[in-house]
Amino acid sequence: MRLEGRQVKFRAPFLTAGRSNVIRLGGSRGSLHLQETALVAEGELVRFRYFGVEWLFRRALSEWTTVTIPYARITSVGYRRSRVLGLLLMLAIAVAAAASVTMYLVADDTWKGLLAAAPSAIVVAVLGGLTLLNRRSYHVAFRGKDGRSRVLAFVVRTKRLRRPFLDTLAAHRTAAARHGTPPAVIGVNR
Amino acid sequence: MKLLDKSLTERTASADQLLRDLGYRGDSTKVTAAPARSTVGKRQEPLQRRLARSVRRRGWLVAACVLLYILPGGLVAGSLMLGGFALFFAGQSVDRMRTHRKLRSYGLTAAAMIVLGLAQVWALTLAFGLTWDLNVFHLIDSPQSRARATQTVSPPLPRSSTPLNRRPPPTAASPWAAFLSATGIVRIAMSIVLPLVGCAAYAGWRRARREQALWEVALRHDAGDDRFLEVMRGMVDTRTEDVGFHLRYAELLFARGDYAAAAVEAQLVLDQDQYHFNGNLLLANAYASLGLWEDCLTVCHDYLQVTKYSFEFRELRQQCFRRLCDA
Repeated sequence: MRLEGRQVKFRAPFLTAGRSNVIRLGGSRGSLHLQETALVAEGELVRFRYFGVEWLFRRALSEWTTVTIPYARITSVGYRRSRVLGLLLMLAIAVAAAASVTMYLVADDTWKGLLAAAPSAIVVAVLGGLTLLNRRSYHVAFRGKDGRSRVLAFVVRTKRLRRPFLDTLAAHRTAAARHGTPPAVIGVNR
Repeated sequence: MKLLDKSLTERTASADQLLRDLGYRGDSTKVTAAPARSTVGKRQEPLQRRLARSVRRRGWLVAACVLLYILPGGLVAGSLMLGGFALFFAGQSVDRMRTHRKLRSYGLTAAAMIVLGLAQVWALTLAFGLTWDLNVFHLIDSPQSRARATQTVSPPLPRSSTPLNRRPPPTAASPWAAFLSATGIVRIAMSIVLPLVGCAAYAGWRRARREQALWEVALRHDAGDDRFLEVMRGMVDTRTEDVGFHLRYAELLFARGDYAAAAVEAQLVLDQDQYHFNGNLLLANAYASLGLWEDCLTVCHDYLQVTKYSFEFRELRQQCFRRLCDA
């Protein structure tokens, strides 16, 4: 089974600046292959990291590459987002929005009110952007040859392909579990 | 069919898929009975020429973006900065394996530092008004042009107007003022849009160069021409993460009989993608060709721990066992 660029989009999991175990494939030009031996992700890998600024010029700093994830090394597959973080963000947005409205209403002049409300409005906009980044996506966690855990995150855009994709992946994983060594054991051995 | 866009490991999955790629949408069992497509239509440009044109066009676009971004802000300072960057790049690109080239590299880097320093000094003296530089935006936005912009354009009063209705009509901003504001908007737009356009053009240029190199390899491989190997080597040095391209280079080295170099390149491929099937297989085969049976056995054993059903590695492992027993 193969998911092409218009059907899949790679996403770096939220707040990846400090995490070195995230596969930093980005954008919608890649593809995902469920081959007999492994899940192969192909796309543009961001080569540098600089506090997240690199994502503004992602394509210029990226290189076309592949990442092979044998089914036997996959430790978990999830469709999730950070709920606690999402809740905290929503709370922060509510507080900032309330502060912004209060500042505007308390001020005696319209312009002064707008000026006073602007900083918290900017905070609301930034937090809103962060909330959008915290969207649901598939997280495939696997163990590398060095034993370290790594995460590949992506969104299957075409809804009708989500179930077949997960079913095929589960079938391959079951087959690999019958014939392969469990990932944790391999990680310790290495 | 955009075959060059595809991964080197990716194959057309089925005959149906191949027919779809070729543009056939009907029943696959009746494909031979389908009428042939007319070939009288527009003549297509050869792929090689199309790729060359794409590389050239994107290269020019990148150069134009860089020039438009740096030069309008100061011709001398911008030129010095560009020159410094070019020298630095040239200095770092030199192969430093030989002594005289190493010296050349150091010299170019030192020259780059001096030129970049000069660009900074020039900008500093410019800030204090000690020197002059050709700045397009400053020319447009000079004090004279500002004074000209403050002149308002008033329509002439009608003769019949009485003192009561002789109030001056609303004054329109002069066209020069409108031009100045438009220039300001263009300047802001340039500072935002040009880097984005430049980045996209640069990424496209790299991608087109990759496709061009792969195409030339496909053309020249059988002709026994080794020049493309040099070109590929240069590209591999700047594209270490490109697993597909790197693997192709390693496979070509293997096909030429340079097993040691192929093993090194395959190992580098596996640094990027540890479980790459073809990369591991190439490494194992290179070790086997070099007679390093124990290393070959290790590679096979490691991969079979992950995928026990890979018969290629199992076969190779059997060979290793036999050779080691014979020895």
